[in-house]
Amino acid sequence: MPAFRVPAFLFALAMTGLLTPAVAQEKRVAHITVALGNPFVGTVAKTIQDEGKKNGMAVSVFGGPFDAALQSQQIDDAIAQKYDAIALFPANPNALLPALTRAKAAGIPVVLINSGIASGHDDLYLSYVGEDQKVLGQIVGKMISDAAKGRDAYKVAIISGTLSESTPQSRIAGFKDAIAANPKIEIVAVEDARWDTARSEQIAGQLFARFAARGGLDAVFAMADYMAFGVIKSAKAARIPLGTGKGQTMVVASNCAKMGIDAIAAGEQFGTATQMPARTGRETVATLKQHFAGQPIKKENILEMVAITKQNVETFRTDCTF
Amino acid sequence: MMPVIEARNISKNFGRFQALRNVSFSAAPGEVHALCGENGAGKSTLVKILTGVLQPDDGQTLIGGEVHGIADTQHAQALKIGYVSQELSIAPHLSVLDNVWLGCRGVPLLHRRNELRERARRALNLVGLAHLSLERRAGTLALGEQQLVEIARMMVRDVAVLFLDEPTATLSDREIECVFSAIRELRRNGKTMIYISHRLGEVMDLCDRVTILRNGENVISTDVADISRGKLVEHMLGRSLSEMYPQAGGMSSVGALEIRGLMVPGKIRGLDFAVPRGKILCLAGQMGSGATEAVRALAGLVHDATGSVVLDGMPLKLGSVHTLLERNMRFVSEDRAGEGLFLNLSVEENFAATQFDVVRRFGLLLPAPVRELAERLADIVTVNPDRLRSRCGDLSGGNQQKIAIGRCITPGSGILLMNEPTRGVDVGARAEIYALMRQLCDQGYAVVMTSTDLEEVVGLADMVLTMYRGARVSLYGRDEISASRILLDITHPLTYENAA
Amino acid sequence: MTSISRLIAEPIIRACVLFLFVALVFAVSAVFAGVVVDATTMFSVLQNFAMIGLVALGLGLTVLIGEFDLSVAGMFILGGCVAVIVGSNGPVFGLAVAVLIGIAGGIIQALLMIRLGLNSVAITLGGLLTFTGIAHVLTESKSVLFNDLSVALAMNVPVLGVFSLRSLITIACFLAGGVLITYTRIGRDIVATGSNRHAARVAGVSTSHMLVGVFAVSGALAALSGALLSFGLSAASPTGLSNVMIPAIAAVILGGGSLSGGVGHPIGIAAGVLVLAIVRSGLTVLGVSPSVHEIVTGALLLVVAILDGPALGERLYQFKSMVTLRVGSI
Ligand SMILES: Nc1ncnc2c1ncn2[C@@H]1O[C@H](COP(=O)(O)OP(=O)(O)OP(=O)(O)O)[C@@H](O)[C@H]1O
Ligand SMILES: [Mg+2]
Repeated sequence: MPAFRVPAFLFALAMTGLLTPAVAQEKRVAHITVALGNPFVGTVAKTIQDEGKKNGMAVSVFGGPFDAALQSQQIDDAIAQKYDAIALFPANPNALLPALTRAKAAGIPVVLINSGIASGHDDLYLSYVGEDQKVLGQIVGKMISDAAKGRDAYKVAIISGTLSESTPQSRIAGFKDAIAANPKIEIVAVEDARWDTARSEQIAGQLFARFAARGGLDAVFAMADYMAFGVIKSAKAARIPLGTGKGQTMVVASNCAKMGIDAIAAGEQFGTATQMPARTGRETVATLKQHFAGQPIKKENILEMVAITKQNVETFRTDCTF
Repeated sequence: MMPVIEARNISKNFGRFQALRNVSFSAAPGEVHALCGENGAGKSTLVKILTGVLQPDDGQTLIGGEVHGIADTQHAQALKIGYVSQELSIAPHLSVLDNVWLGCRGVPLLHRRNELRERARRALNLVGLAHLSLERRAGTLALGEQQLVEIARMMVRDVAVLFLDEPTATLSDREIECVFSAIRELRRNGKTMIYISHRLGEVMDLCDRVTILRNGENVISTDVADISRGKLVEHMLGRSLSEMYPQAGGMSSVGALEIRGLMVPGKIRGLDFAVPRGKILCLAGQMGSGATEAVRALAGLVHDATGSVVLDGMPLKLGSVHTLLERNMRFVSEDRAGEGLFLNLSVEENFAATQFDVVRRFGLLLPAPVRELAERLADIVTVNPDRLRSRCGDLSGGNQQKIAIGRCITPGSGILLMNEPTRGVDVGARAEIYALMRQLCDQGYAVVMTSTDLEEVVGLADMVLTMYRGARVSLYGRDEISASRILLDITHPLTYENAA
Repeated sequence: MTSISRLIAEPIIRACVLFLFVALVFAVSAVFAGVVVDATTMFSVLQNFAMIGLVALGLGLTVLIGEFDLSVAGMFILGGCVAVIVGSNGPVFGLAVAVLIGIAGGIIQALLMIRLGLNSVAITLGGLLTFTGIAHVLTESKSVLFNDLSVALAMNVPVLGVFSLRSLITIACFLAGGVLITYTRIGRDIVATGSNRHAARVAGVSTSHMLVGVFAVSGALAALSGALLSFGLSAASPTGLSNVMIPAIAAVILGGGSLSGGVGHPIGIAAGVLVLAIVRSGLTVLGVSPSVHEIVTGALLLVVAILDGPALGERLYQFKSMVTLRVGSI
């Protein structure tokens, strides 16, 4: 059947053409991450790749949906392929422990990025690079407690990233710590929008409708700026006034992106916090470079976190643009 | 003698429709008992109740003289009741061997045993399928062979009573003979058989007793020897049938369908013929003769057919269904369910389905014109206008066939291509369909048809073209047609040698 | 048709040919790229095989019987969560409870289908949502850690170089499925039910028993697969540790299953899963960007769909006549 030989040949050709031959002297780093379509995740990966190249590392990026099983498999493959290091953006705090144990046994150092793993397993990684998720939550919690001062009742809704991950859980915990002092602040809803703009917009719409009869929401905490963007869009559609005053809804987020910076400058979003992917990527590569050079490494490389509001928004324009 | 199986005062409703009303039936051991009646008389329904496929609404079933319910088909099997259903019941993806043993309770869990193969082999030999490989996939068999496999399925089982619901409807004469010899063999072994067929000749030849149903009620139960064929028809229809085959009309119209050099690789090796308008041409041949394929090829359904077709002096592109429709050339398939009707749609939608341009108003499909067209066609083909809104699949086979023909009737006369125009159709409806075909011819239609029913070929056709292994044997005009000649042509290998 | 194209028309053989072809392409590419293919690569392929294999097998059996079990994705998640939660009293106990729940879920769905005369897609879509919902309730929507890490390590220790406990269990299930379908009366009855349900019933096959059985097996396999994965990763998550549904459907189709029922075989499905596993592991080993995985899988599905057409000969003929027409008109 000659008709089928042709496509078969083309297919084989295409597959061989896609290969990228590895250069021997460079240090090989496997960056195992989550959905690259997510702006934050994508920027981290791109920075690691670019910075890595500048610093003599060949970085291969392995993405996938938020799929812990796939990540576990990718770690095993990276071990089998004898990569020099793994930079891991974990999809799940628990499910990667066995794979990390195997990486440790194989002597391959792992740098954790942005999200931690279950506590009590510090020996499984070389260093953690990223913000302290709990502190990010606290920063936002403080903004809300400040705004709620002197109010009789204050209703907050949280539109969260994927709830089964550790990151959102830590941020919510930090947030709760910060508002604990003021019993008037009430968290009326925690909804899972899975780090997605469209889903955030949709959920916000439902929340606005649900609480319209009860005097509306005083604040919405959307976990990322691109989620807050959806919330603002939805508020505009529902003609909900945005702001910190009584009868207005205040929108806050806990990692920064261009649309958040713009919204803060425009006064539609109250504030956000410094979780900046490019910085995380740079720090990751710096950590790896130190490791390859045999220098001592900080175990917990917690990056500086501050609140971003209208006052200081312009300072963060470059790092927050992604 | 005590009846082996008996039904007493059975009633069965489908929704509001009463299919059986107080019907009783009994079969004595060792007899071949015919069950006759028009389409929709309730024959299959009664059989399904006695084989556990359906449950009666009222009445009793008796096995060996004792009241005994029949819960489902497995239970029926345990009671040694066998059933060859009217609908083809082959699992197309399984092998012939597996189909023979399908559903048999006696098969051990691990089933690839030599003994099973041997017994299946013997059963297949008995029904005339000695040539068939046991490993062949059943879906690749011809329709008739599938039917025979189904009968073989009953041969390997330990059955005392065997129900055969129109087993010969899809078979050629040779295959029917195989079925008959199998039935006679079973009768010698003391089995009881209940036999349903619309072919009254078979009933008269083969059966000992006959029970006649009409409109879901008992008419009569008698020894076959005590009843004439005419009387049988009269009981079935509730009236006497003046004549089966209409007189050929003397009308001659201008124009003809001419076919030259029709070829289908592996099936037809160059076929020439011409049918003048006003005539019925019947291609007669056994399975594998290419007769059915020739009609299908003309209908544009065989992708690798070649040849020239000229209609009324103008050439026609072979293989384009679209052109065929434009030139009013329509096809009525032998497989009503598969490629004939939309059984889930209503009767009127079926009538309108091929004539959208006739019923369209301002580009829209409105209910009024559809209804109008359906009523007109229903009147022509004598379908009860009250049933226009019914689901087509709920109608009897005869009525379905009339609808299939009805939707081929176009403004202006056309060409009708038909394979097996009366398969599974009862005597009454059959006479009506013959009359309808003749009426269309008188209006200037030409008909090209095939049939494996020799009686029908002889009775109906104006011209008969006999075929053997993909080639023409002879062509007979009205006066030359005789059953014996045709039979000789289509079965005699010598003729093949001559024709080649 | 030539004998080759007839062989390709046979679903199992086609799946195996496809498997060999993909394996060959991978091997050749590896040589070109200078990548070493050794036992660890095989191990990786088999780990991927274990991940989707059982779900694909269960789904494939329901496809074989002419239905479609969407709920496997939900049962996969629920099985993992139950196994981890109950497994604190011993992993084997957790596994057993998960499988029992899978069987029960399958039986309930099949009975609903039979009683209500409904289509499996509608019922199992309900099952999918229900099972994931239960998993969310059980875990309070959080990822759960299984404390005994040694179980996870034991599950993935290489056995004989290329196997692991997980992949061995998966292979055993496929072999059992193959024997069931090829050599037993039940297997033949399942194929008959998928091939022509009415015919099977008239012939005396208890089609409803077959349906119930197949859905019970499908549920059990999905739950088992989820439980094995959860033990292997030492964690469970109500949002799923892995998206198995799409790869499983792809594997069934690559393996020669037909959505109209009656076609498919565990060995074919195994070949389909292996194809996907090779694509996944292979492209990772070769360092090809992950987005290419999907493109390659999609291309393979397309090839199979073209080969699968009931009238391949007819289509080739049309293609040929189209070409000749074009050429003729120039
Ligand atoms: N499942 C069903 N639902 C509704 N009506 C039905 C059903 N089965 C049969 N009928 C109707 O019951 C009547 C009797 O049907 P049955 O099949 O017993 O007729 P039959 O005598 O076998 O006819 P034929 O010679 O065409 O096979 C018909 O009018 C048919 O339309
Ligand atoms: Mg009938």
